[in-house]
Amino acid sequence: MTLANKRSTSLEDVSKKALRIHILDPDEWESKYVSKIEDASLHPEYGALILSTLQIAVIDKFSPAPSLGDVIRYVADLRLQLGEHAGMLNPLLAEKAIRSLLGDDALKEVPPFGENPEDMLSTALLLLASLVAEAGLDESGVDELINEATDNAEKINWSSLPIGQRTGSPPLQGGSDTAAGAASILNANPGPSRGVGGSWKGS
Amino acid sequence: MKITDLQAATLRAQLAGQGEEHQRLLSQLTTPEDREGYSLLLAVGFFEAVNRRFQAKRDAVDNDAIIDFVANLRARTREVAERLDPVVAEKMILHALGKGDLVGIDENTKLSGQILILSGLIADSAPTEAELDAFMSKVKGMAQGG
Repeated sequence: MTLANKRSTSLEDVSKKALRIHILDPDEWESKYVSKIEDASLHPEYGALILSTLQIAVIDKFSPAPSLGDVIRYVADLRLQLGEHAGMLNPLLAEKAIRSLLGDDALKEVPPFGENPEDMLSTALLLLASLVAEAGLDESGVDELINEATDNAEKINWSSLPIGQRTGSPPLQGGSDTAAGAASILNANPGPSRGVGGSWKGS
Repeated sequence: MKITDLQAATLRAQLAGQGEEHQRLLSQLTTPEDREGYSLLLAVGFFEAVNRRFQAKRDAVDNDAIIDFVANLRARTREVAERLDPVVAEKMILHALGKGDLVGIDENTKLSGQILILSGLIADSAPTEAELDAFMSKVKGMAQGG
C-alpha cells in the first residue's frame, strides 16, 4: 500500500466514523468530531460521503416513483417536526438537494444551488438524520448504509460538486442551530411515515 | 382609489379559474392607472383572504398551518412549485397577518406571490358564485377605502 493510499484509507475511516457518530449520537459528534471535520483535507471526503449516503436514503425513501410534490411535502413535514427550529432548514435548498440526488432532469441548477457549500452540507446532514430516524435504522443498519455509500462514493466523481470548498466559517458547528442539533430533535421525534411516488412525475 | 368594473372582473376571472377570460380582461388593462388599481385590488384581496384563513388567535399565528398550506399549494403543480419560493410565500402571509417584514423581496415577486397564494386560498375555500361575488364586493370596497 502506498503512502497516498494509506492516507486515503485513514481519511475514509475518519469520515465513516464521523458520519456514523453524527447519525447515532449527535451530541458526541459535536464534542469529538467538529474539529476533525474542520481539517481541510478531510472536509471534501466527508462531504462526498454525506451526499453518497443521503443519495441512498432518498432513493429508498422516494423510489420507485418520485414526484416533486412528494419532495415538497416531505421537506415541509420535516420543517413542521422541527417546530421552533424550522428556520434552520432552507426548504428550497433541501428540495433541490433531494431532487438532484434523485436525478430530476427538470432541475437545471447544480449543487450547491447558489447557496453556501456549508449550508448545502448542513442541509444534507439534517435530511439524512431525518431519513435514518424515519427508517428506524439500528447501529448495524447505519453501518450497512454508510458502507454502501462509501462504495458508491468511490465510483462517483463527487468532485464535480463544490462541496469540499472551504468558505471561511467552520462547517457544521455551534449552538443548537446546527445539523447535529437538528439531528437530536429528529432522533427524539421520529419522522412521518409517507408513501412513495415514479420515474419523475409531473408534480 | 376608484376600482373599475373591469379591474374587479379581471381579478374575479382569475380567482374563478377562468384563465382565458382572465387573460382577455387583463389585456384590456392598458394604462398605468388600470394596472395600479388592479394591483391594489389584488393586494387587498390577498390581505383579506389570508386573514380569513389564518386569522391570528390571541395574537398568535399558526406557523405550522402556514407552512402546511404553502407546501400543499406548491405541491399541486410543478409551475407553482418553481415560481413560488416557500420562504417568500410564508413571509408574505405572515406580513399580511401583521408579522415580520418583506425586506429584500422585489415587487414582481410580491405580485406573483399574491396571485398564486390568493388563487390557492380561494380554490381551497371553493366558494359558490355568490360567495365569490361577495368576496369581490368586499375587497373592492376595501380597496376604495370603504
